Parts: sequence; C-alpha cells; structure tokens
Amino acid sequence: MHPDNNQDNTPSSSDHSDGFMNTKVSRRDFLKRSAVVGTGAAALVAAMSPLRLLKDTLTAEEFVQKHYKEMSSEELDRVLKRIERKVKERYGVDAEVKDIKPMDGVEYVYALNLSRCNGSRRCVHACVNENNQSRSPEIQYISVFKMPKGTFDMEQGTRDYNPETVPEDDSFYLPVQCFQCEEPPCTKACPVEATWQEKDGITVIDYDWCIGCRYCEAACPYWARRFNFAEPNIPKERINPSMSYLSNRPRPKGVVEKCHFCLHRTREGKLPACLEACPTGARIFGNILDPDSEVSYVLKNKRVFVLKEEAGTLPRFFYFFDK
Amino acid sequence: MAVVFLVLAISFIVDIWGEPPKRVIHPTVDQANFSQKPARTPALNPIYVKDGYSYRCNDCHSVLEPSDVQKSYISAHPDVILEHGANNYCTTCHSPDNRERLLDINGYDVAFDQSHKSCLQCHGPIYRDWEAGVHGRMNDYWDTERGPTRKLTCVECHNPHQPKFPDMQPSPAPNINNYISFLNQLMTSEESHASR
Repeated sequence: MHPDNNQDNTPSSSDHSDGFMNTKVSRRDFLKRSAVVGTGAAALVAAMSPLRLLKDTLTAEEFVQKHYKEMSSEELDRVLKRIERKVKERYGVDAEVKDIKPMDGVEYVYALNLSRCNGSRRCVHACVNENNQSRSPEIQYISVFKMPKGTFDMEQGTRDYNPETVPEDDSFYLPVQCFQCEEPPCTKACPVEATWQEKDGITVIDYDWCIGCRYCEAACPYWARRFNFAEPNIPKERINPSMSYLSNRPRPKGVVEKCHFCLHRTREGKLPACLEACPTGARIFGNILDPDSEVSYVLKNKRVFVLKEEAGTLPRFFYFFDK
Repeated sequence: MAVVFLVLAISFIVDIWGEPPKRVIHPTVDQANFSQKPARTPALNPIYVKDGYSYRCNDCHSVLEPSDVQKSYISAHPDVILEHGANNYCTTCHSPDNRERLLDINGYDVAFDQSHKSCLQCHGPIYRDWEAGVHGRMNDYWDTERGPTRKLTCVECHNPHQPKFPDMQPSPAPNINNYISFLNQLMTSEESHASR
C-alpha cells in the first residue's frame, strides 16, 4: 500500500536487530521487550497457579518406591515407618502399620445365611469403622440390597431402604461385598499388576502402585471395588490404629479399594469385623482347607449358591437359605 | 506456547472453571451401629427386686404351689409375656420343684447358664448347627490355635419367653449425595426431565 513506508521500515528494523546485538537498545524497545517478557512470566506463573493447591505432594522416596512384591523386607519396613509417620502427621494417631503374610494351609471362605440376615446394616458400618474408609465422600465395601421375595433379579433390589424396623415382611436382604474370586477378572484387567490374588485367596491391592485407571472396577461383575474420587475424609477419633499395608491403612486420592476379608485380622486368627458386628449371626467365616471348620460344615450340609455363577469367577463367598 | 500460557492465565484469573464441587460432610455414625454387644444380656442368676427388697426365686416359690394352668398375665411377673409357640406353661421349661433351675424333658435339672440344654430338646437341627458354629454369632478368633472363639448362647440373642428375634432399627443408609454441585445438577436434570 505504501511502498515508501515499507522501504523506510525495512532498514530501521535491521537497525534494531543490530542494536540488539550491539546492546544499543532504545529505551522504547527495552520497555517493549521487558513488558512482553514480564507478561509472559506472569502468565506462566498464573497458568501454573493450580499447582499451589496440590497438598501432600509426592516425595522422592515415595516416587521411587518399588512394587510390594519386589520390596526387600528392609525397604518394606522403611515404607511402613513412613506410613506411620504420615498417619501421625495427618491424624495425630499413633498407628501400627504391619505387613502380615498369608498363613500356610489356609484358604478363606465366607458363607452368609440369607434366612438370618435382617438387613440391619451393622456389618456395613463395622466395616467402615474397621477399615478406615472415607466417610465423606462415603465409601462402603458392603452393599446390603433389599430384594423382593421370590426373585434374584438385582434390578429389583435397592440399597436405599430406611424403614422404621427391619426385617420387612415382603423382602429379604442380600449383602454383597468382594467375593475374593478364585478366577478374579479384576486382577487380569489391571495394566500395572497393582492388584493380585494372594495364596490364602484374598485379592489385595497395593495402593501405592495403583494408577487409578479403574479397569478393575469395570471388570468386576459384582460391583465390589470402590474408587477414591476425593482425598478420603476420616474423623480423627474414628481412625483404627491397627493397620496393615495391604488392607486398612489410609488410602490416597485416586486409587481403588475393596473388601479384603479384614486380612489384618483374619491372618492373625481373628474373625472379620463385619461378622463380629452381625446381630443375627448370619455370617460364617473360616478356613475351607480345614474339614472341621464352620464353613466346611456349611458347604457339606447346606444348599449353597454363589452370585452370577455363569460369570465363571468361582467366588469364595457362598449364600444359603436355612429354613 | 506463550499464547497457551496466556489463555490459561486468563482462564484462571477470570476463573472460568468455577468452584470445585463442594463436599458434603456426612454426620459421624453412632458407635451403636457397629457395636459387638450381643442382642440381649440374659439373667443367668435371676434376682427379683420389688419394693426395695430382692428375692431369690425360691423365696416365694417354695411356698407357692406350681400352677398347672396356663400362665396368667396378672401374676407376679407381668413383664414376662409368653409367646413361645405351644409352650403356654411356665413349668414346660422351669422346674416346678426348684425355680432356680430349668428342666429338661427327662425331668433333670438344668442350670440357668446351661439353658441351651433345655432348648436342644425341641430345637434339634438348630442345636446341631449351633454346635457346629453355623447358627448364631461367633466372636474373637476363628483360629482356635491363636485364641478362643466366643460362641453366643441361645439366650444371648433370643428371649426364651418370646424367642422370635426382635425387629430392629436399621443403621443409616448409604449416602449418594457426596457433592453439593453434583446434587444440584442431578436435581436440575430431574426437573428438566419432569418438565418434558
């Protein structure tokens, strides 16, 4: 449009670049450039500002932590000490974090008498209390379904029942939790092997190895796995200080968790928390490899069944009716 | 690159992302919801207290003839309501000669803390299950090498006079509304469904 102008500008711009190289910068250009650089830096800081909200960032030690199965006992001890320290910092509770290995000659099986279950949900809250689950948002391992009598169609069941008293005449109650399947689809779905089946039949999760992809949650036919969408919130006075690495230590945000048959109790010979709170004694737990155990008696003498047998998962959790 | 940062910076300053979903803090559930206490505490050593005096059973019953008629509800024990199937007589289970004892079907005395020996005479199959540890609750240890198993007795769950297990109040239901904005979204979408 204005060739004269162009001709005028071209030499002047080359002058500028020369000036820059020779550190002869005009005041105007210096201000211009520093304004650009300053704005850019400010923009960078502002763009990264959400990082400030990150609390409890990963330490180098946590970052290089190995998979549970690959850790030597010294490394694992260090990790357990670190978890204890973090629990103390966060909740002010002196917790004891253990790593309890499976017992030899033991395979756990659960049995549940549906004729006795009265839907009181004591097991649900005993479990939450034992296993340091997040209270808000709420995570519960056990779902108790109220089912109309005469059907096993889960679509007709509801978790959200709240009558004055239970049981109600027209319903039975079906508690569902992780069944510790012998052929677990969840462990096969995990891309990083953060979940696996131990030799006593309990499928466990290394919460520090879990990447939170939730494939296992989708693979489970029983909706047994729960995902920590938010940082778990647990009242200090309700922390259970008896913890173990693979079970009830506080979980971080963004990992999957599930029922583990209270392995920190059961591997020390105790009964699971849900069973101990059941007011009607509907729950039966024990070692299936022991022919004299309670669960062996149930499998020999009662007509047991499993949920979704056609899925081929071979659950270690048997239901039966007893009337 | 600089443009991306600039846009991001503006987006954070103007705050186009809005508030993060606010968490609903659920009330802490009462300890009674996971108590391991048995359903009832049976009186294994019954003492009758009236007008500031306490009596052993036999203090009165040694001078009272055992009634051979159906229990009347205006007697000395108005709190005992007998709803135990066809068992309408006190002396079906209580010894007529010694009221501090129970009775089995052969006429032998059964102590109050051995009451299951009375129960088993009619409830054979249930007793068999209980003995095997399959009826009724267990506590403490499953592995008897590590520690003792505590097995609740019949009367720690069932009132022998009204043996049907009492109805109870259910513990709180699961909360689905963990986030306020999520809840609002849900409600507005429900409203729009309703308006359609």
